[in-house]
Amino acid sequence: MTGEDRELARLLESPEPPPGCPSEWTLQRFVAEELKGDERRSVATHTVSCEHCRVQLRALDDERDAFLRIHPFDEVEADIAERALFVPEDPEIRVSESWWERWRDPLVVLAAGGFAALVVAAVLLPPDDGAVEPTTGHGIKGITDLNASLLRDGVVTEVAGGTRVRAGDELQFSVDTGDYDHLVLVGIDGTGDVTVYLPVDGGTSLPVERGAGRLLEQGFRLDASPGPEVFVAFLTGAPIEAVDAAGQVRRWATEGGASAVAGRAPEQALGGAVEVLSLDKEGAGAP
Amino acid sequence: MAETATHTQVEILYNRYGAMVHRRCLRILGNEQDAMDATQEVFARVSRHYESFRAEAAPSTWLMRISTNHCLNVIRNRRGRRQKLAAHRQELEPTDRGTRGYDGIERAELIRTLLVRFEPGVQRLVIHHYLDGMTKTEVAQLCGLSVPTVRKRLNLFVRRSRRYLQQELLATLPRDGKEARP
Repeated sequence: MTGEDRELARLLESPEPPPGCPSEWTLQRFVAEELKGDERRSVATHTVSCEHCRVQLRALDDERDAFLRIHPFDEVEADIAERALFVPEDPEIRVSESWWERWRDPLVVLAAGGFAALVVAAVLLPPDDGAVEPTTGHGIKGITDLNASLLRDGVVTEVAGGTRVRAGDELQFSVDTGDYDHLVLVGIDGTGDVTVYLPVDGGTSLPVERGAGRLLEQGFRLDASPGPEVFVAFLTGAPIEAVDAAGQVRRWATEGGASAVAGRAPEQALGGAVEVLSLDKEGAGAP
Repeated sequence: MAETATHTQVEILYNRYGAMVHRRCLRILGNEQDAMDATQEVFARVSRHYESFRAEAAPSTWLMRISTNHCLNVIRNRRGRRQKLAAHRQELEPTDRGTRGYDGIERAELIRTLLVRFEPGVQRLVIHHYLDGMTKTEVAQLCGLSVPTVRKRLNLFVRRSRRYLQQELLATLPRDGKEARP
């Protein structure tokens, strides 16, 4: 890892509080006197013995005092009152964008219906070499990612962290291909069995168009093998052999099985990018 | 029509939460003028829609929603302005030290630089986690998402950000304590 890599890793490090300490957010609410009862007592007790949190609290207190000294209410009151006259009647206060809210939108439901039909067609119909790839996405260039949608009982849902798949589910993958032109998709299940999903013949990597949200034509139905189901996409600039990609996945799975792959796979391998999607599975080992 | 807050009600809330709102606006927007402007806007909305505000169990939750939406709108309106990593360091230094020292400033700058490249669903999670200092569990509770979903989206943010930065911004990173020259 280069010095720049370490610097980036440090800056993007998750700002979780030290073990046992309240979050910075909780401390802010404490200073604002919003915490009540046990929650307030818990923070107050903790800060007695924790120098780290005491320092944070003192800094937040100082910051509040400085803010009110520089911007006392008396000085901003008139501006706030004037602005209030122009605030719309219905404030935009919703922040949650959980998936079910998006599904309430009729257009999204319509699109989902079309997507479901596409998934079914991909599974039931023979491949059409001349088919045009449908695309979705957010216009990101040079970035790779592997995502999936799940078709279960005729309903398509977005696969997210915490999604548990089961035997019989159908998965439709999409990839952000970045600046790469070739793809191999490999899977490994809870038994350690490695399968090359794409290319379907297990030979040389599949050519893909560059861009975000490239929907792969081929959908996959999960069998009854135990989970987790881990999928690894290899995106490369030049053709690679699927057998090499499968070998990489086997090596990452050594001494840890499928569960270890997500943690061990580097961001780059075989001259390209690696993206991993790990899914827990219900009814592990069910026939 | 919605109930409007009295002068005293707004003053009490401003004195308790003003610094908190200003702090996060400053972290999201990156300069004092925009941050104070946004803070006043947030309290104007509090004043105008006090009834719905009062219905919230935790005032901070409502304030965070309002300020997030407002700040993201401001960011969206900064058309054609792709901020470079170190653009606001000097401007921020006197006021944005917060509780995380100089590291906090660097991170806030970095997050701001990257935010514009992500969709709103990711932006909000990133703001709550990296700029508000919420744990993933707190973010999940506030946004009505599962913790694994929050974790996955934040991981996606980190992965993509690393690549953006490696590709485009490395040249602007300070090296050996010196600012890179343009």
